[in-house]
Amino acid sequence: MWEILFSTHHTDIGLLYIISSLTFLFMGGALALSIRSELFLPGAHIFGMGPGDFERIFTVHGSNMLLLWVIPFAAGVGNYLIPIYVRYKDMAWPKLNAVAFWMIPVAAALVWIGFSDVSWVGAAPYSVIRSAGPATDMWIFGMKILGISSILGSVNFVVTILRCKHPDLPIMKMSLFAWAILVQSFMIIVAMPTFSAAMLMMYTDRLGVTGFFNPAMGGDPIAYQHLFWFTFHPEVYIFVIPAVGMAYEMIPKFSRKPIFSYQSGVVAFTLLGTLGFASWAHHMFATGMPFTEKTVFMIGTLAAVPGSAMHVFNFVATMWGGRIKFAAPMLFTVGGIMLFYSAGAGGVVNTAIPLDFITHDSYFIVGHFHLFMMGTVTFVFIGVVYYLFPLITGRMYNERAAQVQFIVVLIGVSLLFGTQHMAGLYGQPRRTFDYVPIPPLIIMNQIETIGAWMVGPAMGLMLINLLYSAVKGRPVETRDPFEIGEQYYNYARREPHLA
Amino acid sequence: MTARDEEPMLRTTGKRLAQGMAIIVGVMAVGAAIAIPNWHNFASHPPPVSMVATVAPTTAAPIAAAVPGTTTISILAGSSVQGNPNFTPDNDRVPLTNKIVWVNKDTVPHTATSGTGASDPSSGKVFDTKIITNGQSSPVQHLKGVKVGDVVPYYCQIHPYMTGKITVIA
Repeated sequence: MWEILFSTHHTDIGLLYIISSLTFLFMGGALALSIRSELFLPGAHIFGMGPGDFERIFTVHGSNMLLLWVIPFAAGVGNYLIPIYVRYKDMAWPKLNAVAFWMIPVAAALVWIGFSDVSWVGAAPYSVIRSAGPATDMWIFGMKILGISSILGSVNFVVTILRCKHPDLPIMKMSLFAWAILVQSFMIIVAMPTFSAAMLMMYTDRLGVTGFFNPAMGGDPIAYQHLFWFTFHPEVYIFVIPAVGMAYEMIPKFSRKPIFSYQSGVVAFTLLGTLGFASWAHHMFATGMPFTEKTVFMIGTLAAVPGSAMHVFNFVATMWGGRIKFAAPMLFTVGGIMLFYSAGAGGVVNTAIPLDFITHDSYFIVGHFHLFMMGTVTFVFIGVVYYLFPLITGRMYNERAAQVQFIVVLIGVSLLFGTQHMAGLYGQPRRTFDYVPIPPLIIMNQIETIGAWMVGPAMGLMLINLLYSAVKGRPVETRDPFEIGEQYYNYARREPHLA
Repeated sequence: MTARDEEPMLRTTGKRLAQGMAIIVGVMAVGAAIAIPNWHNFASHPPPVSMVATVAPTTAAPIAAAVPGTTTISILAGSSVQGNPNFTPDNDRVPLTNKIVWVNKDTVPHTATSGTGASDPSSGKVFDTKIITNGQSSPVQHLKGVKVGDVVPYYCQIHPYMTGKITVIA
């Protein structure tokens, strides 16, 4: 117990991040299943769920999945691998690293025990003048603590990569995963303080001390949206860039080919990291922005497309002609790229101003970003879990169970989030626990819920597979457990005496 | 745990896994024991600012009492939503010598500004209440530079779709 609390070694902290974020994935997933089960039929059905309870559940689901699953998992894998990849003994500031991690359980307790109803965006003025405390106050402090934690972690990554990198390792030979974490960390450092400031302003507004976002006191709720989306549109790239970096680790190895173009990967990361800041107000087209402003942000959004396309092209070109081994990490990665393409296509059409007015606050948006978060980011992250499992545990997971999981999850996710796009175009608004009881909407919601019911047990299968295999799995040689002739990292360069 | 420069591998035993699971499940159980019985308590206190906001209209209401020689026009609750009724009456007949007061019964600030909109060069020339916060009444307005029979359009600078008219009578 004490060694867990006080260890500062990067692999220990990395593992703590990975295990806690996986725990939050399953906890948040349970909430998602309850949401979808409620929506299987119109009307209130489970847990005596009324609109207030439903809002509290989807608020914690959203906040949890984004800030307690996706970001900490990326930080965990980064902690585990970055010092190894840049050939340094540990992270630059190990104690700071441990502090950054241990802020997460505190923040998680605030978010999970309070169960606020502000939705994960905390939209003003509801969050300021109406949303009940102390749940929402706890949520605000939880968000602030998570913001500080991710900034501390990011500063550590930037310094580790840029200052502690081995002098013999040129930056343009560094792993693309390290590049991904570097770009992501810079983005967090730039984006997150704005959100932290907005949380502070929201809190003082709630106290009645200030009126930044309170129209009754001369404030402007739209200002909150600008501050929020200035952080959280780049945050989309902050979520997805580590997943893309991890895909760059797995695809060449399982294709048994070098990366098609290392340079284009670096350029695309840099492009996304920069242009990610040029599109935040596309979330706000319906707020009455002038046409010129809307056009600027529409173009800013489209400008990020080439960066994403360069990555996808790079992946396809790397796989092309390779002797691909479709083990679970590769399956989940390729599935993630496929769904990334679908999610991206939805995003491109949705950035068109006239369509955005139709889809705004509808299930189209829910389907679109869940295809990113679940279909792309979580798919690749699951692939990484399977990929690193032998390295971390020295044992192999059950490959067949992982492949069954992949097939079921892929079908479930496609049914769930593909259909949500259609339900949105049919007019179903998001964030409601009930809907108009007409056959098309009932059928679409039932298809979505069946998809969710497929994903849930399949994720349970993964949990059992990981737990069982961690103890009883076949022991493997950790350098090349997948027998693909590739190593996790170049042992000879890191530890010459092993060569 | 892992020592420096050691190969980062963790051969898990059943006991070690059970300890880890016990920690996770134990923490979750403690959290659930706090959260579930207090489910409603944690979302039962409105933010302090909501109490500040509810005080304002009651203190302002007496100001709106009718005074001879004064015309009172209401800004209805919900006026800020486009399409809702807003200034009431929206075509009032006001004697030339009368004073006018607007009472904001909505939950957001408004103005009553003469003219047809922000691009009207004569905007605010006849009268302009400036911002009237929710629950408050405007300062007394006198009609400037108009004669009997004139129709004076006016609007809200914050919500320009809120419009009304005043017809000046003898």
